[in-house]
Amino acid sequence: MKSIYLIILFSWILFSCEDIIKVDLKSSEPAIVIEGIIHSDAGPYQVRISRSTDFYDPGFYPGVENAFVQISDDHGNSEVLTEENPGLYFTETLVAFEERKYSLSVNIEGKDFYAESIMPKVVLIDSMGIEIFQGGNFFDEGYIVHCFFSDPPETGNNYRLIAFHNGVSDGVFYLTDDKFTNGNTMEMMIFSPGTVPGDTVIVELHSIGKSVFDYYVTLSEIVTQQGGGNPANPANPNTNLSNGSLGYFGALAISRSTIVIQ
Amino acid sequence: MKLQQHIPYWIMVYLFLPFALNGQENYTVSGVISDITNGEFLIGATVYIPVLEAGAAANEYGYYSITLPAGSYTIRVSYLGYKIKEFEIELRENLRRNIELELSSETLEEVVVVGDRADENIRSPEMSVSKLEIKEIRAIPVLFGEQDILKTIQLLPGVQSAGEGGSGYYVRGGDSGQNLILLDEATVYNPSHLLGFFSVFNSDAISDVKLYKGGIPAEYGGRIASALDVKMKNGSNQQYGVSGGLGLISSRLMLEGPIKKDVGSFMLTGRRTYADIFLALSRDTLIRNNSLYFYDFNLKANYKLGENDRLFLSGYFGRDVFLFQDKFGIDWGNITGTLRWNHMFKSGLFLNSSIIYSKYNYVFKVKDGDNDLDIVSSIQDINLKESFQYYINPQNTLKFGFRLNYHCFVPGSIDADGSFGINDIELSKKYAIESALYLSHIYEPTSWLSLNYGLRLSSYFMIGPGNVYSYDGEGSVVDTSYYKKGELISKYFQAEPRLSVNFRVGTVSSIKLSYNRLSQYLHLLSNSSSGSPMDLWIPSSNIVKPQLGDQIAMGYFRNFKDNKWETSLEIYYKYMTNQIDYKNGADIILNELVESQLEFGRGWSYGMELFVKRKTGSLHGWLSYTLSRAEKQFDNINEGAVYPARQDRIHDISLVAIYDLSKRWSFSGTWVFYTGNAVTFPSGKYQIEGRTVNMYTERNGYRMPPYHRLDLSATLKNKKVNRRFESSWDFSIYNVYARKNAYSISFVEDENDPTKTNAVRLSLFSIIPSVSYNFKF
Repeated sequence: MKSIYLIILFSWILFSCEDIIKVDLKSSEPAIVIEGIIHSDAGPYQVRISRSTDFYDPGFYPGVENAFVQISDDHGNSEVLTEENPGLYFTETLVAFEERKYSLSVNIEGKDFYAESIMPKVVLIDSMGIEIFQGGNFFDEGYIVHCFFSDPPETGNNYRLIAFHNGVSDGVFYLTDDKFTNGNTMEMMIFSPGTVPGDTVIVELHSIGKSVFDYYVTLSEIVTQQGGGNPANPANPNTNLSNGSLGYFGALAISRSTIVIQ
Repeated sequence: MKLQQHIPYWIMVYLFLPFALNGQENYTVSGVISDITNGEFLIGATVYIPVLEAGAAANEYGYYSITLPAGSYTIRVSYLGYKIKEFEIELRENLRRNIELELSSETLEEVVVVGDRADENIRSPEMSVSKLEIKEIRAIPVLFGEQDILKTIQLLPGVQSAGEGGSGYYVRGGDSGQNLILLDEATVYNPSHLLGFFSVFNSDAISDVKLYKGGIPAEYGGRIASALDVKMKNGSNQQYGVSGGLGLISSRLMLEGPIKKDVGSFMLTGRRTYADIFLALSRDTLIRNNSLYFYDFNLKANYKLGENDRLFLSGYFGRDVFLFQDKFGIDWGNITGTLRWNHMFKSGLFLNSSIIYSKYNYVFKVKDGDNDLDIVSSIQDINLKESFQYYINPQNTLKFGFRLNYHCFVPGSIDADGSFGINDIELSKKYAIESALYLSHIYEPTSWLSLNYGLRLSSYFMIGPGNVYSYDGEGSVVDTSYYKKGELISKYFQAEPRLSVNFRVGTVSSIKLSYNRLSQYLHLLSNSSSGSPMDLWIPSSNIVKPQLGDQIAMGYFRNFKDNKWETSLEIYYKYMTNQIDYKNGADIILNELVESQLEFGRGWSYGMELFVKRKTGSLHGWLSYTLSRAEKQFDNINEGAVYPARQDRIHDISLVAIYDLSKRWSFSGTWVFYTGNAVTFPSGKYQIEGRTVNMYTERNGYRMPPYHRLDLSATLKNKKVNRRFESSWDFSIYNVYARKNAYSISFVEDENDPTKTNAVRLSLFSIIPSVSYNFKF
């Protein structure tokens, strides 16, 4: 429903303009950023640890080396990850299963960080379809990809969809839960201006736990705001990690489907 | 509790007090003061007895009453801009004298100096009050040439604009949901059209506007920051008239006339915007097939049922419509209706009884082929109100009464018939009864002291049917209990003392003090600064406690040059508890458990306001300057540390000048300057999924750049074509020096170089000229 405000804003944008200004921003202590993912596909699974920088610094985020990183499940399996590149830690043997609770433990220079995430059941994409749309001032001509899947009967399912156009993610957060659609066939639409016949669209459907969903929702809010949304009260995303670190640990149950535009 | 036990006794004392005072032979002269040409009430017109140096002012129904010892008197009646009228009375019994005043043909300057109560601001215990003349509102330039009450009040001290070009406002550090907005006594829940670029108040339909920022009298309650009392015109009871205006983005029309000459009249206005016709000019179908407009109507009618009774009916209906590609749309609006009956008793007692209805709703529709989805939400009130005004003698006036308000909340429902794979959902409706009993005494014991003190006893009952939830610290439901229809869910009481004192110092200055406590039982949840149609009003409950606001204020008032110049300096301190904010990432749309998404805390504000006004002369206008702070503290926001509220603006200056060059030309200009709002900016950045994400370290730790803007306008009155037809052209320029004021600043990756990040300023309105044509016959 946010789109309404954007569209109403469009009308006022007839009268508006944008330019780059210099804002005096404070400097901040580098914060630890942990991005840990385990998913229903085969491993290895990756944990990336980096630090934040000041806003006007060049976009280089140093990796945090020599951290202790461990992923465990609630069936007694556990593995300490090995660092292959600065700040990039990988599993070698761990096998992930649906409906297990995973935990991530990280120790950096004596400071502990911890998070848990339950991997839901995989929800399969039932079918996909395409629809053409006309271009205009705001968008090029292109296609809408419709993606259908069946929400399980119990409430509390959360989804994220990622769309890849010819192998490249479109960078949009497609997020939904089953608050209004529990137990039904659900539809998510991918709006792809600029696609032409012959293009391939791969859709990944991630079934995720509530805390990971909350993380993506709050992350997408500030990422959208960065693109000029309504200035409410931006804040760091709601993370499941302890001890004041940024980022999240997510257990994703993934299904995929591919469609060729024609 | 003790205080409440004493109330009935206290009320009795006051009810019998007048009889004690009336021991000697006293009689009352009373009636209605109106404009001779159209019968409009002259609210605040004064009746003065020179020999006694005593007087009274007409109330909101033009009613005045003055009780004096038997004898012969000369009575002098005056009102700004009208010819003074004097007449003799022989007071041997209670008299009814209706008074009609005639507009003065002289310029304002010559008239006002002889008015007996030109120094009302010095005499009255009222402080922190602003009254706007419709004439002033018309003269001030605004965006697209659309005159607007809510934009004009933002030029007064202590009142801040909530956003560029918008009608939302903040008063003395309060939020926009803490302003009481009344239209003919009916609460207006959403005062804006088109996301705030227009207000619901059509200035054609309005006769009187009064804003209370502090020292709020006991008859007002329910919001903790301010009360805006807007009254509609009655319409002429002498002759039919038509007036209207054609503007660039909207047009309006008003009809008025007698129902029966001298006995009753009506007024009907309508407006419609057509900004969206510009969209139709686009070659892009994505833009072309959209609608975005609003329309609204005001209606008022009154009828005299006899010498002592008069009936009023007033109503407002407004609707905003937004439609995108005929596929989805939202429409929203307010409806209000007020039925009133005035009765004048012989002895100076005036009674107004009202039945008031008010409703706000929105309907969100999606239609795509056979799929059809409706989401609706509303809030609806039915009120019963009795208010007495008792003019005991020139020294004592009592105002007392009660208000009973039944609220029904429909937080939202989805009617999808299985379309789009969406289930029907209906959030539980909520019901509450809010009531208040009030009494205030306006007392002028000596020439140097006057007081207005009173008490409002408010109560609130949330009643079933409905589910009541309790939550743990994480916001998860731990317990659900069901209440039957009419069963009491939660109750709150509050004694709200009100006091204003005026000490006169010499003849041209006074010192005033005031204190008020206000409670607020309904809360506005709003996520945006501009005010959106989907903002939600929620009732107090077991989880959400009533907001409470205490304010003390002190002021020095002084007039210069025979009251041609008014100045005032006020300082205030305000403390607010049970304030509400969202949790980060709160899910408030159609959420049954919306109360689990809230944080509770406290806030305070303090400041100084300077106001200098030149009331008369060919060059008139005002300067207002506000120096203020507003802060908040929530345990779960900003790690519990105090942070500046969004409306924390340190300096706020408005300069308004109106110049009447000749009978045909007049010019006006406004200049505003304010410190940027407190705002949250990133203090760093990091990377997730390969994209740059801003890092925030504190709430509202930064400021937007300072805002300033100059607007100018000119009005040309055309030569009269015949005796009745008048017309004029209004030319205005918004943002004359085209300053790029920041509406928002976003922090994004550079489009060409992803290693760089930039601050991008969005500014809304550059220089915007506009013209409109107004007519009247």
